[in-house]
Amino acid sequence: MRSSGSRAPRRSGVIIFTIVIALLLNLTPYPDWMENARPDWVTLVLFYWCLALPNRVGVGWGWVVGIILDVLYYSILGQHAIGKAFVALIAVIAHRRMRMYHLWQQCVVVFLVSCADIACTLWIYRITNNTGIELVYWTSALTTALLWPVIYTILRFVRQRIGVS
Amino acid sequence: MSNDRSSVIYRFMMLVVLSVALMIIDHRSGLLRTVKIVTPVINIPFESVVGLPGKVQSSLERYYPDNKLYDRFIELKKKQVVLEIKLQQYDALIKENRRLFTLLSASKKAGDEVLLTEIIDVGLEPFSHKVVVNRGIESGVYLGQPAIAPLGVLGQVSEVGFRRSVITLITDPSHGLPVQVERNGLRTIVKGSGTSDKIGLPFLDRQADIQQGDVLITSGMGGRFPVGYKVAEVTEIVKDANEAFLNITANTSAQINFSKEVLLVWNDDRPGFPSRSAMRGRTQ
Repeated sequence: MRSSGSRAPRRSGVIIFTIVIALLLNLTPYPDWMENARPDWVTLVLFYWCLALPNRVGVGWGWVVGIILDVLYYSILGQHAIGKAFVALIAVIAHRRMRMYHLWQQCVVVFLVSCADIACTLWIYRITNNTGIELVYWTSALTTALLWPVIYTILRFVRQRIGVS
Repeated sequence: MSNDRSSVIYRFMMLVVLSVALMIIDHRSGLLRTVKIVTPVINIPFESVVGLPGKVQSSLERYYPDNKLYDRFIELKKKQVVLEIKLQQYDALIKENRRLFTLLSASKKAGDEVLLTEIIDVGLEPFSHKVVVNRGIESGVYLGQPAIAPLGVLGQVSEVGFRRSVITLITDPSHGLPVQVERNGLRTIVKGSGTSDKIGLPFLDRQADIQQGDVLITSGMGGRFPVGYKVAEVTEIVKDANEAFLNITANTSAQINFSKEVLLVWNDDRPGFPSRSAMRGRTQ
């Protein structure tokens, strides 16, 4: 979000493109048995870019992406925005520490962050819509965390290939 | 570094406050309603891309039909014959009903105005018991409009937008629906259970005359849903001696996970709502 002056090629297009792909994947219908375990691709992609470019992609991006997600999910505006801004916040604050971690340790962090995101969203949904908070809804945090190595590898390849900085 | 960090946290807190404000405005007042009518414009390209694989699959099935499809065709053909026969009877009933109502000089009308819509193939979150259909405000869809699938009541319109509306399913825990038992006319309210295909009847006491297999139909109480649409079938009745009320579960008649087509019904009984033909000048 912060403008860092006259850096040469900034290529925000790549970031936006990957986020759009993630949004599409989030909206993809899954078979019934996977309904509760749908991975949150948006969280993963957002988390990656916040780790890789903490000075450019931050809480503001997270919030805007969350609002777009609210529109796409037909939920009340702001429901996903807080969770996604939180994801971005953790990534930006902890980006130095995260770079020292092994991939599987990062998975654990992604799991916890994803849990917090789901808790936030569910909590707001519960206040506005009166639903039970069941344990099965958290399985999506698990699948999200398991996909982190894949997304990390792909996006790092993309970033190094295209040279987003 | 610490300065940087605190500024990030500060910005996050500001965004949280902004979100909370947005949510309160959205939830408590109608100020954002006009905005929400326009926002589905963003959804339409996303949903068409997401729905592409399904479309390709169904068109492939059309070009390479297998035996299963043929069997289904035969099955549907048989079903259609049965339905047509039933329809004749229904037509006769409507005419009789109309005649009787004119005799009674009542304004009530049998045979509702309907609009056929299609469910958009999009994966919303599992905890939101909602589906999206491809018609919106320009087709005259209104808030609270009943939505009915071929086999039973599906839910009601909870949000109307540009070419899109959101239907809250009867399985949603916030959804209540006045019903009656088809067998004896016992009236009660069903509430969504939060699990798919199941609804609960929390308001019947232990003396209530209800049994397994009873069919529940809409009672028309409250004026939102028209009378006589199938809702659910009672599957389980738990009698707990410590509880004043029965714990009853029913299976929804509409196969919610498999429905593709949804009828939106204009219910003329509803006070304060002009009928669709009056509103748009066309009849169906």
